[in-house]
Amino acid sequence: MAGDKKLLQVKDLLVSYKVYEGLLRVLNGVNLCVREGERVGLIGETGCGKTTILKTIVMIVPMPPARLEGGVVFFKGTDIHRDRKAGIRSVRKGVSMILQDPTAALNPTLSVRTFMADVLKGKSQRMSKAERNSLMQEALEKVAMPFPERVLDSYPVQLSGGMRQRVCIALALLKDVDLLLADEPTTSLDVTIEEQILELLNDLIQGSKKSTILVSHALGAIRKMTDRVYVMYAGDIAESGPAEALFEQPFHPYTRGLFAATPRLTGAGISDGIAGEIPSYLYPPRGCRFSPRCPERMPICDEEKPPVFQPQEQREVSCHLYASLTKSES
Amino acid sequence: MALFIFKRIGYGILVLFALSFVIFSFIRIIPGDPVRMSLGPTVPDEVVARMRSELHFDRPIPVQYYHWIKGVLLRGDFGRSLFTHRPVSQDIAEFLPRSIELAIFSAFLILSFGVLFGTISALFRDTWLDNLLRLFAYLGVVTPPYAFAILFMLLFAFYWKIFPLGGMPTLPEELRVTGMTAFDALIRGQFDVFGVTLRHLVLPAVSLSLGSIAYQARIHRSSMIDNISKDYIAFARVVGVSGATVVFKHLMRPSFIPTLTIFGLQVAALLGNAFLIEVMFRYPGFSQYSLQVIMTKDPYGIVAVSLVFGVIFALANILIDVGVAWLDPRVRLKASE
Amino acid sequence: MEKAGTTPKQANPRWQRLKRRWYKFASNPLSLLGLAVVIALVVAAAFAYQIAPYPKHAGLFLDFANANQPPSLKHLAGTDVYGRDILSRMLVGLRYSLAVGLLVLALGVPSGVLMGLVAGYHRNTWVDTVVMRFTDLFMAIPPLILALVVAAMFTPGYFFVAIGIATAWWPWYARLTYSLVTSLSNEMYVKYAELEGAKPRRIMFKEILPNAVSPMFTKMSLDMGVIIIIASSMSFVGLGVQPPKPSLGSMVSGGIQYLPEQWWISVFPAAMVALIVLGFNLLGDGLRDVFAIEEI
Repeated sequence: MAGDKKLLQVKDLLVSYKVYEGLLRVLNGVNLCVREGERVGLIGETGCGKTTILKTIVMIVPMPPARLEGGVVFFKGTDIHRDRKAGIRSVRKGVSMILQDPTAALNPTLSVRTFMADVLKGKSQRMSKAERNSLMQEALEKVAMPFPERVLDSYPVQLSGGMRQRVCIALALLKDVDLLLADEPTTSLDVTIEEQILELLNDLIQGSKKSTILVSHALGAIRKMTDRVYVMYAGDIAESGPAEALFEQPFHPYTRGLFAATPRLTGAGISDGIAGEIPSYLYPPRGCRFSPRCPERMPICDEEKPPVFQPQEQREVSCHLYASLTKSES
Repeated sequence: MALFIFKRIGYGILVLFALSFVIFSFIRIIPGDPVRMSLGPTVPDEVVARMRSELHFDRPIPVQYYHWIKGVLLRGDFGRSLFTHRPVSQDIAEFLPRSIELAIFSAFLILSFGVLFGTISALFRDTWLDNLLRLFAYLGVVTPPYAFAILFMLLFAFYWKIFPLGGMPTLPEELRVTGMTAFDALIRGQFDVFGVTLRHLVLPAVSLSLGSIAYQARIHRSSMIDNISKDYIAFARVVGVSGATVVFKHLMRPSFIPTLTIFGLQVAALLGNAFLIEVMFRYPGFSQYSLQVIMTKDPYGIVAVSLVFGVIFALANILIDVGVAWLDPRVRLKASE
Repeated sequence: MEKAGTTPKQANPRWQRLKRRWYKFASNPLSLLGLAVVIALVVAAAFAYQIAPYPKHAGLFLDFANANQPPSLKHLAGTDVYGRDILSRMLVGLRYSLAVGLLVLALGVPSGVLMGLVAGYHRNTWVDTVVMRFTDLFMAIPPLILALVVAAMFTPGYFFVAIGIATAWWPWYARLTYSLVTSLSNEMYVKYAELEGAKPRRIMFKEILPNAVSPMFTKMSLDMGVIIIIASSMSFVGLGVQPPKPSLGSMVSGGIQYLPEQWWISVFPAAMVALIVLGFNLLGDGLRDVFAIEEI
């Protein structure tokens, strides 16, 4: 089970992007943490900043035009952005990531074998060709790839979408990391393949002692595959808690709206969704960023950003509705 | 892959046939009597007429072409030049290798320095180094090659006397292998001769290549910058590929594709600009011969010269296409379909 | 182009677009510099005979007493071996250079574009194949060489120089147009026009051509520089305007034998060529930036 030690801690993270028209305040003070061996889920609409958080953690956000305006990211206890070189070293050793679009993630001019060899060479120089080859085979078998030898000699353009994602997963797992980030690994795949890839990921994660952050639109998968879930909206964490509990009883109006919007076979069928759209990041609302769309909107919501409350054990919500409860300590 | 090359070569040959026919006919259609011009006004008419029939100018054009093409393919006989009064093939054998040598040297300079400066510029983007290189690149692109030639002549040949003013020494017959002066000297082990010939090559080659180096550097720089923000570079980093490998393999390979494509155009420019450079430096090369042949409307000379340029150009393009196909598997696989 | 204010409802979108493009263009000082240089050159060329300090020197003129003078206040660019003022000759030579450039574009662009349009719209028919193979023929040898061969066929003169270069240039425009047409043909608005039963020619000219115009302008501006270099190379070898009329290329070649002592005879005309190319390149780059953003 999950230990108590925090492997990753993100505190009050503020990240902005400088664009022609001004400053896009993408992350508005994000707090999240991952403990050792814990599987964390991150859900939210497209454009709410999930990818930015992940990229900031792995330090692949281009620093101009992006800017770290505030907050810290602790990985294994160290602030990775304070000394960037050391931070990058530590993160490259301990964190890996699967990107959203497998086609864009694979260099079109390199064969799978070449790419894998490069990763292995980065891991350790002292490996013979034979050793490398067997590791590559193993890696592809681990992701249930048919005909590994043929795939190794292929180029991305010759592989199907599902196969490409499997290759990405294999590549991501080539080094032994403590934390694996998966950014919507199935969003750009066919629905029929989606199930397979999610199953695969589930097996791989269950089998190892790695911590994971899984970002996905597939709410069912998140519910099944994660221990704890964060819900994000427009650069803020709306609420968080243990997966089952959160899905059973969402507290934040946004989460409620999100779950209600999910098409179901039983019950409501296809709903109308949530009225309105995500706010502009250039001129974000002063208070709670969800308030323009919130059915429970109150005057204070437009004025002040809601602090984090703890309506229940291990549950946290950032919403003024719960102001009467004790404020959260973290 | 082999099929790809064959198809290209076959097509290239067809085009060259068509081109040679067009130019061949074109020259014979335009007014003017090249035979008379080459022999001079004092020569009696019968001599002119005799020469004209010797050169088959009195036959219908397709017949002439047929004879000529037969000569070219079977005997390597390109006809007789009215300018040098020798077989054109002899002229080609004498002048072409020297120009090829100059062209290869220049091409090598263009690709290597262009890529080098472009890479440095891209990696140190927006620093003073980058801005300086970009400024030079811009100046290089807008300055005509002959302006560089003048500049270098003034600086390096006149004032500082580091390099010779022009020309190219001829090798004695024993040393001649391919006709490429410096190359022959090198492979014959005559290193001091090689040194001399190399020095004669430098100024013309640099004048020729500077503009192209600049252009190449700009293209390569922007190509690398485009690719640096691509997902596959970030992914390679995340997944653990070493920094140097990411830059020099993962980034360089896709960036090379537009660079190589542009290189083809640079070769075309090279062949063209060589005309002036050879004249200015009195380099006894093929371009300078071609110029004379063209200006004097030498019938066999012009078509032979066009054919030679066409062949060189086509070969260069095929090589470049092969290079691109090698780099980009998408092209390779499409081509084999 | 309707003028703003004629029909407010119709003029608005076009005018707005033009204004936006101008702001984008003007935000880059280099592009403005390019525009300024080009305008200055065009004006100088148009009024060359009025601006030149010694207009008569751009023709038959001999003054050996004043020959080979270095640059001075009286002769800003010095004099040549015949005593003619180089600056005046450069200004007149500028006229020919710009004229040749314009002529080449005027000849080459319409013919190239037309071929490209026709071939592109009749894609995958024999028309397409024939036209494209035809362009291959003209692209088989490097442009300068083709231009030389063609121009040398005629009596020397700048008109034939233009014809020569245009012969080598039109295939590029044909190709560009062809690829634009092919990609634009797949756009929805063309498909709709087809469905509505519009005739092919109408579609070509009303739907496709206007959208192909912007990349074309960029290319034309950038091309001017190269064309002028090629034209000056051709006058360098004696094919352009004949003496005693001046042309930048022939001035450069004429001065080579007097290096290094009378360096100004070659250097100033060469620098003028570089300036022309600089102006058009900056302008072209600026246009490219403006139109590139639009495409996103």
